[in-house]
Amino acid sequence: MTEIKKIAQLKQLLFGLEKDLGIQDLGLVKQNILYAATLVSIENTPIETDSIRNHELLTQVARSTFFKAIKELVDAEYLRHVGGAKRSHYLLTEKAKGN
Amino acid sequence: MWRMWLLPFIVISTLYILTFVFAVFWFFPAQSTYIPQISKYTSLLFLPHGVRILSAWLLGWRSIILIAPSALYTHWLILGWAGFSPLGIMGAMCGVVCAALTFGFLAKVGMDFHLKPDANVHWTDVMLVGVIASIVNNVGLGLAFGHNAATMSGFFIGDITGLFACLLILMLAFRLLRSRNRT
Repeated sequence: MTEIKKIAQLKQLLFGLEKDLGIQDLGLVKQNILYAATLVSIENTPIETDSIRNHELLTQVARSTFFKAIKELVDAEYLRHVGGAKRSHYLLTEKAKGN
Repeated sequence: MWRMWLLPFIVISTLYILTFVFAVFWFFPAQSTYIPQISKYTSLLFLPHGVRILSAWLLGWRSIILIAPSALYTHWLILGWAGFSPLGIMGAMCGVVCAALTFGFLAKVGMDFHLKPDANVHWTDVMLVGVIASIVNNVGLGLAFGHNAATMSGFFIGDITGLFACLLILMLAFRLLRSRNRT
């Protein structure tokens, strides 16, 4: 295994520790998604993906990066996917509100 | 040669000796002022255990050869030449081989935490290895030097807190690097 792969695995292991301790810091894109979602959200109303995606905080972000970050925010329980709608909608969780 | 042996040898030896000196000659005296009843050299924060576990995880069996000189040197720092009786050397070598041996043993029983390209090892897996390796090491030290249960319990606590502290220190170092590089 190459040195860089070893360091990557070490970083991944330490990131797991960070996550479990609840002190992981979100990347810039994920932070901006949360800020944009907070800005466009109306109390307890699901936010449409496009209204976050089109926010000026995220205009420079590639589509694939955006959706990957959204998925990671759902996995990390900052956003909750709201089912049933034709288009994807999300709600900010209590964790995101306290962040 | 340089990347395979010399560089890891310099890094591991430096870290092992520095953490050992910190644990035994700095942390232990400070700890003694609060808990004087703990026997000599039983540091409750033994960072070198973290160095040997992470070395074994990153370098496998090679870590035994790489860590042996610094482990024997620190053994000499504490016990002098008197520690180099056959039993004394056996005791010292338990600390050298315990980590790689535990990784190897766990792999045999279906818990392979070795570093591999497709593996996703969690930090708790490494802690589990640290716990078992500490038991192996303490049994060896107990047989070699006849330590009592209280001393061995102290060694065990020191090993576990030391390993966890090593992970925390590394995590904070990577966080610091990340925040510095963020635009």
